Amino acid sequence: MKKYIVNRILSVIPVLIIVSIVVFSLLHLTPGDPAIAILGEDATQEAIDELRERMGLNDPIPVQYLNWLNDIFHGDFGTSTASSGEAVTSMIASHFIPTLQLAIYSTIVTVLLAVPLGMLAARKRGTVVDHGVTVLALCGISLPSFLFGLGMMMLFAVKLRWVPVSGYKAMSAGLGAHFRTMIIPAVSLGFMHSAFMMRMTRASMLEVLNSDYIKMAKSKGVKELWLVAKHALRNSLVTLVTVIGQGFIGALSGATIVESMFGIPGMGSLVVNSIGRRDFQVIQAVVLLIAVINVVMNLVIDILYGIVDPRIRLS
Amino acid sequence: MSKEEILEVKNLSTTFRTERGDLKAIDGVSFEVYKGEILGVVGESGCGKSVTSQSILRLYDEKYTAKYDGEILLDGKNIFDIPLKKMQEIRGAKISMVFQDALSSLNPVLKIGDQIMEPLRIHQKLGKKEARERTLEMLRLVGIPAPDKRIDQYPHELSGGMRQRVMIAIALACRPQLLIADEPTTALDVTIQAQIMDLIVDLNKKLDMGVILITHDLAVVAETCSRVVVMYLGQIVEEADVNDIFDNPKHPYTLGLIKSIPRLDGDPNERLYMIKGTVPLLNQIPNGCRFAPRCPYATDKCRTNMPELKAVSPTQKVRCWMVEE
Amino acid sequence: MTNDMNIPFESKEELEEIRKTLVKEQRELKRKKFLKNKMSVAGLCIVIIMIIIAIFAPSIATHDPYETNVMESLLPPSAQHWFGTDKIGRDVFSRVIYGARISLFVGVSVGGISAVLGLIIGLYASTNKVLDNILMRCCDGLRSIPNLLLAITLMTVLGAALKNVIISLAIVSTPGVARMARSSALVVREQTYVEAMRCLGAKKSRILWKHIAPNILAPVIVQMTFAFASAIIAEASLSFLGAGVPSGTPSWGSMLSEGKAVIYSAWWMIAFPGAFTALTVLGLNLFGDGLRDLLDPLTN
Repeated sequence: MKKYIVNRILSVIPVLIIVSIVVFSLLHLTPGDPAIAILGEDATQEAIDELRERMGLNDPIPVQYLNWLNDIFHGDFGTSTASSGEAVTSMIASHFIPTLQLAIYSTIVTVLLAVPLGMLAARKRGTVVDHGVTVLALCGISLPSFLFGLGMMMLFAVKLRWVPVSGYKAMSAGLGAHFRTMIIPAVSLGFMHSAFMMRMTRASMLEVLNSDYIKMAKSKGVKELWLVAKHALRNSLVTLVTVIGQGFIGALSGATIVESMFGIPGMGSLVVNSIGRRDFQVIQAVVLLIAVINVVMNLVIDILYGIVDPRIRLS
Repeated sequence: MSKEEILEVKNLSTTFRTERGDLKAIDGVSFEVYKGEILGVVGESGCGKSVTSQSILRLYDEKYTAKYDGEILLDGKNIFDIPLKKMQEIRGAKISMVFQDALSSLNPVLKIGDQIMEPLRIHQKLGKKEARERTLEMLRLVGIPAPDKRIDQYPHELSGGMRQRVMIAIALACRPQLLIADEPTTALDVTIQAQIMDLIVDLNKKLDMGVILITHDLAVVAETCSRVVVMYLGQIVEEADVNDIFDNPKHPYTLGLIKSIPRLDGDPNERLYMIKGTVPLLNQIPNGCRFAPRCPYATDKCRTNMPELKAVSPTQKVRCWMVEE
Repeated sequence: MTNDMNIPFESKEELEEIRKTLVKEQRELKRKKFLKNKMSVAGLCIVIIMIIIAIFAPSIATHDPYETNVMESLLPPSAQHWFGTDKIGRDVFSRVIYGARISLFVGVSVGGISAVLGLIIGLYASTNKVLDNILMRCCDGLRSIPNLLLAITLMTVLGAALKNVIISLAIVSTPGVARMARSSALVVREQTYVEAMRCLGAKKSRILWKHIAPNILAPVIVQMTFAFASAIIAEASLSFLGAGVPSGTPSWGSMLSEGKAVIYSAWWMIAFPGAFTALTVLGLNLFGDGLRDLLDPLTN
């Protein structure tokens, strides 16, 4: 088991290096001088020179990359190139919690929707229930989260006035107020993803239910409920781990648009606000951070696979 | 010989609903199994042997995929009259089954001990400790060395032969009246095959239960079975005591099967006999005798009229026009 | 049923003949299955209708999509303006119709570009271990960045323009296609007929393009349909966030974003572009699902 975990961790290192190179080079795709791109065409030569110096743009590119990486290892993501000149690290820190909350809630929505419905569809394969779930999943996949969110917003905020249209209340403002602002964003974010997960749960459940060992368990006299709970579910735990992990990753990725739409001051909003300011440093930092979280989550999923399924850790 | 009947299959048919329409996989199969005997069911692949065995346990999904007709009498009661929920009390307790592929039939994420204990805890309501004791006993019974170590291992940590022994242990844990062994040795090496067959014969004597042995290997049948049912395309074509089958086969299909066994005392230069062609698909069932298209003796009558399964002696039944004349 | 169907066969030719009829029957069955699958046919119809709308937008639209009229700001749907008007009095119906052009153009271009690039990358990755490692690691790196974030970043760097939307989204969706093409190519490479061609001394590039490429086309085409669909979502998302096409361009995403600002008073500004977006994506997904069942033997 230990060896398996160590192997998995080691295999992630090259991916992380590639990710950092990709993120770093994104900035350098800019046609022309990044300093001019940031400051605008009409900036003075002094201002440009000063920025080039501050960002280290005069060094050769590999040196720039290593410096950048070195700074990141020391927790320094540079300073925002927007007027405020705030440290990117502290900007991210202050925007991290809402994103994390949103991602967790939306993962819960995803799991609550996808797992029971997927299992139900598999059990009732070929019936009206199954077709209903399949159609629902298709609708979910075809409804971008911001569109679904807009619909929910129109219904619950504008028509019924149950929740505010947008805005964010921290947990310290009271749980009720907090969830009133978070529920619609979490559902809109979770819904689209749960559609994918529903399909996956259904497929893997069907695979398990049609397997020889389920037939064997049936021939032993195992009761239906127990059959699903012990024999099938245990094998579907791999699926569940994937649903949770992928749901979380999906939520983090999709958070950008939902946050900015519902006015939640998370990392997604930070990125969207930085677009207009052409604040590359911030965008780069958030992209790197989310990509790394993504890679790490996948690693955790892999390791959990090994724990759930004894076959995986031996191979 | 006083024979105590355990199971009687009467006119059993199983129909599958598929995209291409309904397919009758077995059609009017009848036979009995007696206490302490091993009944062999033989035939090529696709003859409905496995369907017969799984129908006895009603393992096919009756809601969507399969439809059963006929009767299966266990202790005089038709199991098709039992509500599906009550079937669980029969499966594993009165009738149990050993499948062909032990690797895919054992649950990969559960320890083998848990899997053997399961029927004990379900049917005999044993506590954890007692069940574990009985499990160790079962492992010893099926000849697994170091049972107290094996009990906590996962299926993939055992060899193929060991896995098959575990399957047998699971099937026999509750001392069923009837064991159905569906090609229990097909996936194994030849030497292991012999060991597993010996084990089944041995346990059959020790536990005095009925065994239905499904196989396509006539050599195995000759060594282990007391009676044989030969199936072709979902029907029984011949049923007889094992000696009659080998010494006095009446149906051309049985004859063909026997002639295609390689023999040590045979002429090494002679080509081994082959039955022409292959088993037709279920949606291409011939009119008349189902074997007629492949039968070397077929006449026009065979091609148009289906013969009945008729007794030619108290212990032998045959489905062939030639026998009638 | 005729009796000759059951005559036992002995020669190899006969066996081959039977195999061929079986394959043919299978193919026939599949075609029937696709047509019987009303959902996929419905999906195809939706896609075709959208394409027609996009092509003939100038003759379908009732107004100039760019024409502003402050006097007619935020009018609800009426005989004059079927889908109402927006804040500066532009006709929403005409803008939605023109929006189909942007969406489908982006979708088709991104789908096409990423299919071609993905096919080439996947094919070449399958030929050489070192190249495979380099290409696939890069794809992994790109894939670990969430699609929308990557697209936003690229758009910020490249600047708001339709061409840049297409470039960004093509970069986003190519790695997925490449991975798919590579794994299919690796399977096909091992097939006996490719082996046979190799033994006959066919040139490497000839084997690659003449024998392997056509056989991995099916999964690539299926993947292309899904890339098409997600490009439409991505374009709408980018434009919604203000990182897509230049402002003023009639795009479903930017219309939705404008609609959100007046969500209390003008439901039509969200409902119509929203319905068109969802319908188009639904059509593509339905069609893609049917196509996958039809073309991809792995999922059957």
